[in-house]
Amino acid sequence: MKEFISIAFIGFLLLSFHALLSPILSIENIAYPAPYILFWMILPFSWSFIKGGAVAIAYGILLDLLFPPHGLQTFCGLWVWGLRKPIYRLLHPTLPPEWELTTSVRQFNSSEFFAYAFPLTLLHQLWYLSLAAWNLSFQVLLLIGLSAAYTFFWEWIIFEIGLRQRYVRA
Amino acid sequence: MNFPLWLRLLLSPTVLWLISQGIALYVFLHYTPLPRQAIERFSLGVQKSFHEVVMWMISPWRALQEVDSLRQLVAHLQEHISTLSAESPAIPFPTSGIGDFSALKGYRLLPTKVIYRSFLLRENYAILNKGGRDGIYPGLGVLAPEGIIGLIAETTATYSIMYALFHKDVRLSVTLPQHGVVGLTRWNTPILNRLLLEYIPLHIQVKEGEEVWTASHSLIFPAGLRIGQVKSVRSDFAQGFYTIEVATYADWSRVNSLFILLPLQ
Repeated sequence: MKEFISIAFIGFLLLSFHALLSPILSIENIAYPAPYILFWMILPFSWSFIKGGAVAIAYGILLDLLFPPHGLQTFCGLWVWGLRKPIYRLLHPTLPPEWELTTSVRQFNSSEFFAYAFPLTLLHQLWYLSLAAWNLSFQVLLLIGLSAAYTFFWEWIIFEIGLRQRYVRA
Repeated sequence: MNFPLWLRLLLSPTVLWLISQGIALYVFLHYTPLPRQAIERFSLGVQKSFHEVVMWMISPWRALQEVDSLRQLVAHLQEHISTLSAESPAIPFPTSGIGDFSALKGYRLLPTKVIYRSFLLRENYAILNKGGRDGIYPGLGVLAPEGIIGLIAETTATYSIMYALFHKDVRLSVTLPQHGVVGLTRWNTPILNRLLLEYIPLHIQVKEGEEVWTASHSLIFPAGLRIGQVKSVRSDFAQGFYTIEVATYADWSRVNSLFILLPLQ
């Protein structure tokens, strides 16, 4: 329950960040930050498919209601949520059988976090911006790349300041 | 608990994930104008290409039909010209080179072919083989040889979408020329070639067989083009108007060669 409340609180903070700070931090036509993606990435690996999926969808629907276009946030967020375990497994091919119970994103160091979070952020921005713009021109591709890098920058700051559990790994 | 195989498949993580993604994508595509328009345009393009091939295959048969209808038309025009007087009302046919048909003055008639026409929809439409490159734009009127049939709703460079009179959103300002009263047409029945004429006041004596023409208020059609004849009249005393059924001259099931009304600059 405590873990669930902590996740809900992080979700609320990320939503508030997106609503209040993202418009100020966005660089018009060059890069748009979307650090709310972090929520889908930090959901505990130990959660069951149903529990994790329900929380991921609920967060997507909430975003869809608050920030149109409707449906797109859930669609892109579920890609992030669905691919985070395969990506982690890809980065660590020799994982023990019950790794999901012992591993948490919050224990990652910066380089692990980069290897895990940047591809997911890029994937999210690729889906989100190409579908929202309904166009895959060079300008949109550039926007996707820059927005992914800029979003990751903010995700990394939030992760380092508020999410990383330093006492677990030195 | 032992679930059947189909239920186990349905409840598998991958399938549930795909279903959720499908719903989210559907919501996005359904409620966001840009992709919805792009998908509609793409599907219309595919539909147009398919029906162009079909039309090419049946074109010899259609040409024979066309010859027959042209023969009938020439006979009708010869009969009409022989009885023409200065007071004759305007008729809705592209014969401005033959007689003085004042309704069509100020307009050029661009011949066009129907590539596809819908049936039994609440929003009947036809795809025409003329588009923006031919000077077509939304809001132009379309005539069949027998009477008006619809209006241009959308255009691309090479083809156009015509909304038929038998489309739930198409309403025309029309008049009963014998009385000079104006009403509005509406199509809300599943019967093609029938329109409802509304807002004709009860103090007018409307008879079956009376002509219905376009009114002078219409921005799409010039006044005086024929639409159809009064088929039946019903009094709606609660509202103080007639509800009149009009049989259109143009037959939706036979539309093939049409004319787009282009205003002369």
